[in-house]
Amino acid sequence: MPRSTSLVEQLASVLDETGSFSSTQQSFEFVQAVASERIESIIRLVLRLELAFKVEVTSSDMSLLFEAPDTVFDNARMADEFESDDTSICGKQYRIAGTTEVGIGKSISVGPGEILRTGVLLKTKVVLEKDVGRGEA
Amino acid sequence: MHQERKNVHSHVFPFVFGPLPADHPTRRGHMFNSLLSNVSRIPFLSGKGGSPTESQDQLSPPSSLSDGTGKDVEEGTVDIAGPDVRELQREMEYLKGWVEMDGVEMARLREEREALIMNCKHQGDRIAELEHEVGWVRGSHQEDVQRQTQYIRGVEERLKRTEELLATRSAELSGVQAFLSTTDRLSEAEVLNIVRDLNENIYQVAATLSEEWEKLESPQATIRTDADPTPRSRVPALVQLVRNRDPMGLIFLFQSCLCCQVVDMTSSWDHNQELAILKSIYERLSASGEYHTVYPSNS
Repeated sequence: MPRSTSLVEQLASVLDETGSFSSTQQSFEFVQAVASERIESIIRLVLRLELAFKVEVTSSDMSLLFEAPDTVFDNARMADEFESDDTSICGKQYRIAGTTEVGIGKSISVGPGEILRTGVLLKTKVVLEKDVGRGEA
Repeated sequence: MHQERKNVHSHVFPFVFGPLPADHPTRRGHMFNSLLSNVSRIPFLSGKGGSPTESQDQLSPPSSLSDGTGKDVEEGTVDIAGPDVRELQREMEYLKGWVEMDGVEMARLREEREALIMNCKHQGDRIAELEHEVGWVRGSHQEDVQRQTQYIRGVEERLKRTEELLATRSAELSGVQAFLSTTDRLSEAEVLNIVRDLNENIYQVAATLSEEWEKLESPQATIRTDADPTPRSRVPALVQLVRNRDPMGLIFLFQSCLCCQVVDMTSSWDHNQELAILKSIYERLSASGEYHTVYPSNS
């Protein structure tokens, strides 16, 4: 499936959850009418990152990070959408409701067959369940 | 008187007083001695009878003896000596034979000597020719040696320059090699900027859609509960917010869906935990370190 179609499908399926559209086709048309230019920008940036990760960056392996919903918050690789100070939620088992910004993971291979050293270049920004109506896990 | 007789002997038998040939048989020397003893018995030759003048009256003059034929002597001996002279004649004949043989031998030796001289001359010419040839070859060889020496010197010079160049290039390469595997055409800061730009666009799409969605009137249809939301991007909390028409919840859900989608688009692997076979393959490839695009996922 083409990437742009897949993106639009995802957005349209979210709109279907609102009950504002009688059919998925209407949701599609709404998304295309409102956000087609931005979606094109997103696709261009994704292709640019794909080239960077697979060709231009050779010193390390980079990847975009996404945190699946219901994952326990980890301050080492996540940042809270609403907390400027991460220390306030340290030590507490908060589950995340969704990812709002992708992060960047980095792994360095010292040699063939050796264990990779991984790290986070940019933390994934998440929204916690407690902030959207649910409390601590 | 004695001196005159000696001269006569020398005149008649010149070879008697000269040195004998080395290969002359001893017997011939004995014959000469015998001949001399007989000559001493001839009165005018030995000086024991009559004056030389008288002897010259009876015998042929010594000058006639010098022709070497012995005729006059033989005639004289008939008149003067008798048996001694005949014995002397025999000895003379014998000696004449030897003289003739010596003459033949001398002629043969002369021819041989001429042949040897010619041979020596030819050998000398040949030696000169060979020496000339040797000289030419030696000169040519020296030129070859000089040429080869110059060539070797040139080759050594080139080899030395090449080795120096190789050492320089090797040093440069070893210095650069440390950066070859780590030099990126895109810095981390540039990657960060792209991702921030991407996140900004995701937010803008989500916010715009949410804003435009708010402008819509009441719901046109009932909420379809048969939808199959993507588990990785949606949780019931956000979905419930959306169903409650919460714009902020809608933005979060849009963002979560888009983030999940762009991560999938940039990733070569699907880390769905249900596909255990892909996970094990991925882990082996990642551990081998052979592929740069294979990395462990934190998701």
